[in-house]
Formats: sequence, structure tokens, C-alpha cells
Amino acid sequence: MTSDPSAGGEAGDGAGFGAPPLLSLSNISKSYGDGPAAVSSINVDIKAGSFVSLVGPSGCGKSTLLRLVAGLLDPSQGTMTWPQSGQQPELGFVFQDATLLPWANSFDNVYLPLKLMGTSREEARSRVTAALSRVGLENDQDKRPHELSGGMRMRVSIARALVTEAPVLLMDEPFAALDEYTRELLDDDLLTLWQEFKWTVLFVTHSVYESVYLSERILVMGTGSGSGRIQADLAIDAPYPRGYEFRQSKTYFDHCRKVSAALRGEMPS
Amino acid sequence: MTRSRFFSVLVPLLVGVGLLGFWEFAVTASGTPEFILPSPSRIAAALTENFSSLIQSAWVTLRITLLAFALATLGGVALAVLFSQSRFVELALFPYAIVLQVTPVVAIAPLILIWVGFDNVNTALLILAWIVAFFPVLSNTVLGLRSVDRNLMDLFTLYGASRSQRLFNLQLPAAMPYILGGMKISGGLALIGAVVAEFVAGSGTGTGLAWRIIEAGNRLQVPTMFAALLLLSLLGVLIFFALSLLEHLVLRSWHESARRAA
Repeated sequence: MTSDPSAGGEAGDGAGFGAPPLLSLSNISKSYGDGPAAVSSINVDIKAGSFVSLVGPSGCGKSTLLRLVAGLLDPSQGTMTWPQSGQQPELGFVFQDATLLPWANSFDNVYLPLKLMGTSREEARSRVTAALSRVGLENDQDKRPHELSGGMRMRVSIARALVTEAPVLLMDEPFAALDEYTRELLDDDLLTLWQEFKWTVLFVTHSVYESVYLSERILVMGTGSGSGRIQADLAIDAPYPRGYEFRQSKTYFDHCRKVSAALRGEMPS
Repeated sequence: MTRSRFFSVLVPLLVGVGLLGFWEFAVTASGTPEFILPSPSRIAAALTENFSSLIQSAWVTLRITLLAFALATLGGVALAVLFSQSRFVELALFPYAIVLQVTPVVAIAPLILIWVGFDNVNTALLILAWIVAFFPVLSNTVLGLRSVDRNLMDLFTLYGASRSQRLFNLQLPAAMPYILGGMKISGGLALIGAVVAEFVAGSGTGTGLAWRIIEAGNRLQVPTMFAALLLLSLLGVLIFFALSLLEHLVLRSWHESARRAA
């Protein structure tokens, strides 16, 4: 409301380079029943291979926006297109809870997406094992979720998103319930995986610090009267790989300040 | 742990022995006639005297109970699955399932008996016991199928799961604790249903424990009545423990309830 969504200016979405965006949202709104719009007038292009965070306070509509992108919700208004593929590509989705089948061990939880796509257990075995070793759980394949720590459960959940080799990863506050130490470890793992697999990541979080650390681009969703809108679109121009030095750097803190200001509805400077 | 377990067995056992002792003493000391209240020793004697015929009757009752219970479980789960697949079917049928449940089975018994014919009393008993037993499985399974984690449902949607994949890989396993809970209630109710039905409808080709109680009552053989009652209680306990064991075996590897007990 208080600022033009494009005020971030420098936020590159690749449109200028001629390649069509991976995902294009045009004038998207969503309201539940007769209630006020949970998200409204969203105009965003997402470049393939980018790491984009959606940041905002609870209830600002960022999870709704993610679910719209996932196709789990239909928009009340507007159009969503995938210009590169013409249709929705395969998606990986990581929830705030690990959202695992409690009766299944790590292997079967990671195997689940392949199973639903009709891949036999034997065919899938090497891929499942590879995905689990990729998140460091190769020795915990037979453990059920209750035998794992919160961080390990989240890793299983990430392995499950990896296993289908989906090009787009949607993450809904995935590490919010973890302790800070574990969260930072998983942030680093996620960045490593992102660089390796060249995913497009759409990452919902309420943490300014986490979003700045991870993202190339941050979409700030508004509070109060600006709720449901993107009120700033900021580029985080710091090179990858990022690590401990970046967390301590002036650039990092400058960006954090900028995102915080945008969250409060101030014009980014 | 083992100490508290030891006490949890010992304490009720001692109370039981104490009560039996008091019962024996009170009956003997007051000279109460045995057709009013027989002493425990007299009941034990009646049990051994009629052991083979009582066991046969217990088997008749148990057979009807188990058959009714099995059909109730199958029917309850099947109907609940049907409800979960079609909102319309649920809307159309659930009220009648409730009507069937709240109508006292004693009142339906004569009607069922007329329908199946007096030469098919066993079938009537089975139907009546089934009516009593099936509802807890139905309502618990419906609840369980509805209580699946919303995010897991979304995950299945995201991966394009078909209805049957969703049902067998997610909804039914997730509903398992509820289904088993319903079965535990149902097992006890099937026994009650079988006994009540036999009281009302009479006995078929075999003679169940309920009929033995009526028969012994008519002849004022009160010790035999108690002996038959004892066997009925044992059947109930047996069913309960068997189902608790089943619940434990199925759920122990993942569900909170079974893990805490282990």
C-alpha cells in the first residue's frame, strides 16, 4: 500500500534478458468465502533457478500465495502461468512440520512420491537412498519419524522433495520450528543443494535474517492495510556460496535493515 | 516399573480373594439359602458339575459373538470408507445408521425373528448382535478418516495421488488407531448383543449361555446361573484382552498410545 511493489527497482527477475520467466503471476487475488482478500493484486514474475523468499508477519497471506502457486488453492482472480513449460512443472513442497507418515520409516517416506507416481520399490531404491544420503541420513533409513530428532525429520522431508527431481521447490516456513543452531545448519545445506540442483526455490519465512541469508530476491508482504500485498521487492546482491562470513558482514546487516524497514512499510532506501 | 507392575496385579488380586472370602463367610454364617445367594464354593461346584455342557454353551455364544464382531468390523469400515468417498452417500445413510443404533435391540428382536423365520434363530441372533456391534466401528472409522493431517492430504494432492492411493496409503493407516478403538468397544458390544438377543429370541439349534441362565433361573438353580455368568464375564475379558493385544501389535511401532504402554 505504502509503496509501489516495483519500488525495489533493482530486483532483477530476468525479464530484461529475454528469457521468459518460469512463473508469472498476474493480478492474483484470493479470498475465502466472503472474507477479506488473503492475498490481493499480486503481480510477480519468478526467474528460473532463482531463490526467492516471501517474508511477512503471520497472517499476511504468504502461505496462501505459496499454496496458490502449488495449485492447492485456486485464485479468486487473476492468472498464473508457467511461461517456460506451458504447464505446472513438477513441484516439491516442504511444510513447516516435516509432515511425514508416522507409521513409515525414512525410506518409505522418501519413496512415497515415487510410489504415488507408479515407480516400483526396486526401481526407486537407488534414488531414495541417494536422496537420503544427500541430506546425511543414509544410516537412518529404517527409523520411523518418532525415532528421529526434529532436524532429522526435516531432512527426511527435504529428501522427499529431492527424490522426484522436481525443478521447483516450494517451502512453507520449513525450519521455523527448529532451534537456531539446527536451522542454520539446514539453511546451509539447503543453499548447497540449491546450487547443485539449480532449483527454483520459493521460500516462505517470517525471519528477516533467514531470508536475507538465503535469497537472491525477497518479496516483502505487508501488514495491516497492506496485508495480502507485496509491498517491496528487494534484490540481495551478494555472491554465493554464502557462509559464516556473510552472516557477519556489513552487507548482510545492511540488507536485513532494508528488509525490516520494508516490513514496517517504509520506502526502501 | 516391574515393581509397580507387580503391584498392579497383586492389589486387585488380593482384593478379589478378600471379597470372595468375605462372601463365603457371610453366606455360611448367615445361613442364606443358595437360591438367593450361593457361596463361591457352591458356584465353583456347579461349574465343575456342569462344566462340559456350560463350555459347549459358551462356545455357542462365543461363535455368534465373534461372527457378529467380524461382520460388524467389516461392515463398519466398509461403510465408513464409502462415506469418505461420497459426501452424498454419507448424507443419505448416516442418519439411518444412527437410528439403527439408538433403537433398543430388544425392541427389534421380535421383528427380525419373524423376518428370518423361527427355524433360523441363529441368523436372527447374528443380525441382532451385528446391529449392536457395528456402530462404534462405523463412527470411529468415519472420525479417523476425517482426522487425517491436512498437510499430508495436500502432499498427496500435490503428487497427483488417485483416490484409492490416498485411501490405502494415507487415510486407512491414519485411521487405524480410531478403527482399533472402535473395535475394542465393538467386541464387548457384540457379546452383549449376542446375550440380549438370545434372551429375547430364544436359542437356536445350539444352546448359548444366555439361554442357560434363563433355564437355570426357571429351575431356581442359582449356582448354575452364577457359573454361566462367570463364563460370560471371562468371555468378555478374553475378547477385550485379545483386542488390546491386537491394538498394541498394530500400533506399537508408531502410535503414541501404544508406545507409552510399551
